[in-house]
Amino acid sequence: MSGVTGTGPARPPHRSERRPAAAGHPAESPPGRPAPVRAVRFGSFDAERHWRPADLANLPRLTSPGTESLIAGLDETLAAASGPDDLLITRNPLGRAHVDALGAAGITFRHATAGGGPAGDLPGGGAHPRGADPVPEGVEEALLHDRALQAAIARAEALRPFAVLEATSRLTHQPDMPHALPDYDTVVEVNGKAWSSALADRLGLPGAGTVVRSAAELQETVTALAAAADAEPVVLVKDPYGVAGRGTIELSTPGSLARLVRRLRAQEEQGLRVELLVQRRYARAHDFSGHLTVAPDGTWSLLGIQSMTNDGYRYGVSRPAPQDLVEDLDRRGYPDILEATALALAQAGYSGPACVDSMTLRDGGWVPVLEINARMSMGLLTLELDRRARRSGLHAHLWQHDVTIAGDADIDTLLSALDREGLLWRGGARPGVLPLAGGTLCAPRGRLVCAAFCAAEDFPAWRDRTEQCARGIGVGTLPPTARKAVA
Amino acid sequence: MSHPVNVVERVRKVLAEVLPGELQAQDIPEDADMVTELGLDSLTAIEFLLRVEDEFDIELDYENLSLAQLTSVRQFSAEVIGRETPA
Repeated sequence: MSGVTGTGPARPPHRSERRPAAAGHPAESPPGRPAPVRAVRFGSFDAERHWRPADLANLPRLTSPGTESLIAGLDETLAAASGPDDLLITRNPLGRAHVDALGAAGITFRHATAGGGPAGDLPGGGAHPRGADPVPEGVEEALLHDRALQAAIARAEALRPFAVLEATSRLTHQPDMPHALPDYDTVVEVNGKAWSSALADRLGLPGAGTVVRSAAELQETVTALAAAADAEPVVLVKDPYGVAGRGTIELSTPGSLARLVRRLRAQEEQGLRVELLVQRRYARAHDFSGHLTVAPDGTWSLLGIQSMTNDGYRYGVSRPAPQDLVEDLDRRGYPDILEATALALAQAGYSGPACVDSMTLRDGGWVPVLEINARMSMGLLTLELDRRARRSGLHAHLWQHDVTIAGDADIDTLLSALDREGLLWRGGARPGVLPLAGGTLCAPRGRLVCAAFCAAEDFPAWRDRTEQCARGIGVGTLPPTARKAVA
Repeated sequence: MSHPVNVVERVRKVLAEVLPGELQAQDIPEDADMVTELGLDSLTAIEFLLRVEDEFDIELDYENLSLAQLTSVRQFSAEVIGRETPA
């Protein structure tokens, strides 16, 4: 059953204060002749977890209770890319106050909830225990059981998923579904680091890593790389479907290599196969990403270049690339590399959005294709927001921080606090900020995902004011003494 | 076997290396929650644990470890490191 916003089940108590939005269900449009849905947007933000083959050996990793429900809330950020005639389908209901705040900023869209939200999965709509993962399936799986939303999707002009998962592919193969997406196996292949590394190697680009396919090969490759390093014998070992730092470990001592090799050998003995990317750790100067889209006919378009500020290996901030960086990248031939990447994606059979992660190095070098995310991305969402902000002479800066959440703090209380402080962006030329996801603000730990609409030089101040305001209602970013400056 | 106090000091030193910011080892309270108070998350926690393995030359059992077990330095030192056998 679809959890139609406005009539959906109550949320669990720790989030029940979020009144569901009353935006119309696509099958319940107002009287008259509703405009057809232009594009349907939805998707799970942990696509790499779905793509990762089950028979791959694992790097050391930690389970983190609550992560899945937090990630399930990130799909709300797709509102940033939605227009008034688009249908946004989220896994959980959107709060009324959040929809109103987005609308006041000019971000309007139709909305529906797939699967009824987590409360609907529990007898009596009871609360999920704190720290548990209350979302048993992604929005894609929920849509496979939702005939009403399938019909709405079939009537839409276009399907714009965050990423093509196996369930997304099955959705497009439902009867009467007119939308075509790239083949699932192709999507999995081009999103693997083995594919992007092979592409970088084929194009003769600096920084291509080495793919190893056994514990013995890992030992040999890392030993050779460490021996060749001058002053910083640190080697990165990356899971082929790791993302945002998850699935990347640093090896800096013979002991750490020996332990990893032992772990991988044990997994090989259990029948798992090893596929890892080995790279030097580079001294990066600037992270950035190129965003493009490949059409089904193989033509492509450059959507823009984003400057990124990562916290360690994790995404922190994305914003428009400064002009001097764009000019530097032009001189280095980045547009040609993006074109070659787009053509390779098309040749492989992929169509849709793609993000090419890249970096310049402190020694003047660069790594133009560090990895390729053949899906939507936070950087692309920032570009969409920036397109809106530029009409008012502002720029969009998107940032996220993991936060501790106390008591009953949630998106409603955050929006009220931001409003009281005069920080909310209402569209137009007056700068401000806008939280992009409410479902990620769930106690005891969540994620603050916000956009600031302001001049580039004012962004740090707007972020600080926002986080200070959030701390005032119990949404706590780390104390300033325990934070790196991300400006 | 290391003296317990020494273990705590070494854990604090490793933690200071991976926590963002300029925290010094001696500024980390032994009883502060590493996750909710000091900001360790699933990414920095892995870095922390890998360095702990290096520092103590032990192999941790990641299959049976979760972020929820990373409470205070004192508890981690006693319950996680204390039960590991040197490799």
